[in-house]
Order: sequence, then C-alpha cells, then structure tokens
Amino acid sequence: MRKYGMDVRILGLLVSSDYYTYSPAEYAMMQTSIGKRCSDIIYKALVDRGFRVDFSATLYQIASELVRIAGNLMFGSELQLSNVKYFVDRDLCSLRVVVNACPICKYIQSDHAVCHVVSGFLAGLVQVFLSKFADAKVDSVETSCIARGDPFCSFDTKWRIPIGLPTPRIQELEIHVDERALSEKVSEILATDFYQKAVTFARQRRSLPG
Amino acid sequence: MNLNTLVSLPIIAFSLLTFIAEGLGYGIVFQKFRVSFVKAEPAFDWIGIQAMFLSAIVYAGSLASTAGITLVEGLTWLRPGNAMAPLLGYIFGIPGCVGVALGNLLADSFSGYYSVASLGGFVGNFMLAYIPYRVLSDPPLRQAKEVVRYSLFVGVGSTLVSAYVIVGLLDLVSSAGITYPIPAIGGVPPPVEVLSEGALWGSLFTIIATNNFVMSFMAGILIVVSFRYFSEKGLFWRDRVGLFETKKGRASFLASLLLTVVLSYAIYDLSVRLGVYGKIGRSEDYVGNLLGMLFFVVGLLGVVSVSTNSVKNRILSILIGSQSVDARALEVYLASRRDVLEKDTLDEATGERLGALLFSKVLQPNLGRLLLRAKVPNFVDDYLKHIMLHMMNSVCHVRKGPTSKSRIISIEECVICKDMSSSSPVCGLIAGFSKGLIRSFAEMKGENLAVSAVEVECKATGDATCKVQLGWE
Repeated sequence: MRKYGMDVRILGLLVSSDYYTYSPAEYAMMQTSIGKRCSDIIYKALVDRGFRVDFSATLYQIASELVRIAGNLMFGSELQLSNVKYFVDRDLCSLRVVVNACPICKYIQSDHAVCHVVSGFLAGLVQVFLSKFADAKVDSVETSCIARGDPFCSFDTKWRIPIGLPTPRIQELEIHVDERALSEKVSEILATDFYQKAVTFARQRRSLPG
Repeated sequence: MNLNTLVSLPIIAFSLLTFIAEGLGYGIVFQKFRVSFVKAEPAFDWIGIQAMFLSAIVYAGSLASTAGITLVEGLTWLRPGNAMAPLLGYIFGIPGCVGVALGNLLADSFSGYYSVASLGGFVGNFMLAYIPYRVLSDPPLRQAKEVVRYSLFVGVGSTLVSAYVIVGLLDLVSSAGITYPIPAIGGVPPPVEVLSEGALWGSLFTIIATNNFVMSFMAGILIVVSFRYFSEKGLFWRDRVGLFETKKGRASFLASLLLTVVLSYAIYDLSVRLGVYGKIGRSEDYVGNLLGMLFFVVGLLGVVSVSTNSVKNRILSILIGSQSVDARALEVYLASRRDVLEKDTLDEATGERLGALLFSKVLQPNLGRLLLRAKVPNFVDDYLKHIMLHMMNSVCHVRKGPTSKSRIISIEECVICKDMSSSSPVCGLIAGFSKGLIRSFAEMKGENLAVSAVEVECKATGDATCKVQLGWE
C-alpha cells in the first residue's frame, strides 16, 4: 500500500457533510475560502519544490499548466480537468475548465452548483500566480455542476488583463497540453517532498484572508 | 451392459457437462422440463483461486488421514472426510466444488488409490459438492422445508449421483479393457485389482453410497455450525460476487486446474519410483497417516489465515482504497477548513455526518450483504481500522473497552492533529466519524442504538496516541 495513498472520495464526503450541515450561503462562502486557502498552500509548496516557470512558454500557457498540475495534486487524478480553454473578450480573460468526473459533488444532489471549493481553488491559484506579474482580481464561477444534473462540472475563472500585461495573441491561447509530459511533471513533483512542504505551510497558516 | 450401467450413462454425461460448463463460466438453469446454460457471474477472482487450492488441501488431507482403513483395495476406503465436500462447495461455490474434485485426486495419488477410477472420483466428488451448492439457500438449513430438501437432494441425490458416476465410469473403462494401472515414468506401478461387474455395482457402489449418505448428514451439521463464521469473515461466495477483478480469473483457474492434476501425477510417479506407493497413508504406516493429517491441518490453517479479516480488508481496499490522492492533501484541506471556521465546535457533527454518508453512499450499496451478517462489535473490531486507514490514512487499533458494549480506538497516526499542540483534544472529526459509522450500521440492521464517541486522549495535548472511547447501548 502506498504510504500516503488515500481515497479522494473522503474529500467529496467531507464537502457534502458540510453541505448538509451549513446553510447554503454559509456553505458557499466557507468552501470558496477553503478552496482559496488550499490553492495558496499548494502554489507556495509548488514554487518551493517543483514548479518552475518555463520561460519559453507564455504566461497563459503556464497558467493553464499550473491549473492542471495543482488540481491533480489537491484533488487527485480523479478530478479530470479534461478541457481547459481560454476565452478573451477585450481585456477580460477567461479560463474555462471542464471536469468530467468530479469527486467533490459526487454525493450531493442540489438545485444549484455546489463545487465552491474547486472554483475557490481555481480563482486563488490563478490570482496568486498572476500576482507575480501584476495586480489582478480573479473570480471563478461554476457554470454547470453534476450535482444539479448537468453532464459535467465547468468553471469560468475570469480576470481583467492588468495594465502592464499584454493582451494574449490567439496562438498563445491555444492550449496544447501533452498529457504524458504533464503526468511526468506531476510524478517528478510527487517524487520530491512537495506534500511535506505543503503540510508544513498549511500548519503555519493562521488567520490569512479568505 | 446391465441396468445400473445404463442408468449411470446419463448421470455421467450430465455430471461431466456440468463440470465443463461451470468451469467455462456457464451455469445450468432448470425450468420445468428444460435445461439451459446461462452465463454465470465470474467465480474465479483471486479469493476464488485461493479457495480452490485451500479446499483441495483441506479435502485431500481429510480423506488421506483415514486412508489406512481400506474397504476395497486400490479403490476406496472409509472416508469421513467426505463430510467436508458439501461444506466446501456451499461456502466457496464453484471454486470449492473444483477444489473438492482436485482434493480427491490428490488424496488418491497420496494414499495409493490412483487409477483410472480416479477420473470418476474427480467428477463424482465434484457433484458431491456441487449439488449442495445449488440446493442450499442463504442462510442454510433454517427451515424444516429446507432440511427435507437437503435430505432429498444431498442425502439421497448427490450420494447416488456420486456413486453412479464413480462406479459407472469405472465399469465403462473396465468394459473397454482398460484394467491396467496408470503408467508411471520412473517405475512399475503395482497391478490394479479388477472387480467384476457384480462386485462393482454390488459392494463398491453400496460402500460409496452408504459412506456418502452418512457423511452428508454430518456435512449438514458442519454447514449450520460454521456458516456464521465463514460468512462474517467475507468468505461466503455469494457475498463477494462482483467485488473483485476477475479478468484473468478463467486463465488462472485453468492453469491451477492443470497444475494440480500434474501435481497429483507427480506424487503418484514419485511414490512409485520410491517404492512407497500404496504404503504411505495406510494404517500400518503411521508416519504416512500423520502426513495426511498434516495436509488437513495445513489446509485448515490456510482457511483460517485467509478468513482472518484479510478478505474484508481486501474488499475494503478495492472499494475505498483507490489511493487516488495523497492523504496529505486532506491535511491541507483540513488545515484550511480550520482556518476558515476558526473553531471546531461543529467538527464532531461534521464527522458524524461524514461517517453516515460514507456508510450510506459507499459501504452499504456495495457491501450490504456482507455487512448484514456482522453485528455491531464485529463491525467495530473488524472494519473500523481498515476504514480509518483507507479513508483517513490514520493507523489505529481497536481494543476492548470498560464494558462489552464499548471499545477504545487508539489512533497512532492521526491525520487530524498531526504536529498540532492544543490544551484540549482536537480530533472531534474522527470521534464523530466513528459515531456516524456505527450509528448508520446499527440503523441498517434495524437497531436503534445510542452511540457515544468521546476523544479521551489526544496527541495534540501531549498524549502518546489519540484515543476515542466508543460506546453503544
């Protein structure tokens, strides 16, 4: 047995137990904050241990790769980020992520979207990444959710392209992700003490902004 | 050809067909006067293969240990071990039935009864296990009606089928002139005693039928007495249907079958070479008899070792042990959750709901049959530590509590409070989780229990382990 292996469904069950414990508004706020905090910890550990900016890639390519890697590390391989695409409308940039098998909302039936922890995670992740280059306010919204009967969960993570950053060219927005290379990269990261670092950061954190 | 031989022909054909069909994964269905073959649920998962080998060893040992009491030289002996056949067939299903057939073959070669009659013994003993497997319901022999059915189909039916197959096949091969012993590569085997047709259908048939008739009733008692043990341990074949990977099961089964047949021949050949064939395992040779008993003990130990929670652990590891994410991601989530909530007053309630959800959404739909057989103490003792390991990556032990309706869960590696320090216990989530699991389990059983779970010691407060005292009334 892998020493630290765990069934990711425990996260889904935890989220769903919160869903049935708190009011919808409380639940949404709480899960979004948890997602943002998780992304902050994961990003910090990634930068510290595994994730290096590839200067031959554009900022947008790196952001999409980051989303996939960090999503895999936080929610496991079952969170299949099958489709990651950019959409640009003037200075509004949007990263659309489709999740075909979502372990988070697996145990919830609802009339509204419930994967706030994932949307919070994506927003937090992109924001903390972009903050290296310029100030950007990033928001993420779940546009479809398996819990309410949609065929997949999808998230739109949007931000206004900050002054100082160029508007992406079309070819920069075309994402060609080599799944094999991505999986190799995740394996490389897993071979480091990434999680140990993440846990250390997690325990150090107290009273950070949600 | 006498009347008995004629009667035996369709029985032999049916038995052989049944063995081949079941071995290939088809079950026989009887509807009024029609017999059809339907694709059966795959029986040879990894536990099925183990069950087949263990059945073969237990059965071979139980037969070989009394091989000294010869009734017909070279053909049969007093076989109280036959009482194991219905039990192994009923508990382990088709793998158990095949194991019984192979066990008979091994006992023949070990004890000096290896001849062309062993083919009949192989199929006849298969049927001795197969008929109870098909006839008995779950739970077995609880109603008078089923006892009558058992007496009819197993006490009389399987006894006669087995005797007809064994004697009928021997009669057929003898009539064909095959009266010589099975050739051995490294020596000359002793000649086989050839019985007349009258002796075959007279004394041999009567001995086999009488022995099996008496033993089938012993088997009934064994089944009733041991069913709860086997089923609680997850060994009853019906409870495992569909839970394990059976992709390469058929190939493994055929390879195992072939291997055991070759092994039986190797034992025969070796004992002929060494000049001990027909001598070991006989009453004059007590060392040989002891070897037979050793066979039996090894098989029994094998069954016990397989049954001691390893099956349940394996089932749970498949069900909830995907290891799809590193457990430390849970720590990241929980730490973030604590940051957001700033207090853990609702941790216990969340944990309780978490336990209830895990039970109702994952465990009950998949393991309902198996769980219904367990009682609350069994569930706590046998399942909880595996669930904690797979779902929480927390290593724990369950020990007896101050009363019979309480347990102490000692968590040596706790995912909740690892490297934390606090003035009061902080693992309310784990305590609530245990409580929710047990309460949901009791509700499934229709028991309305008051369950309590209190964290009495916590690593965060400086204790060596986290301890949750669990109680139910």
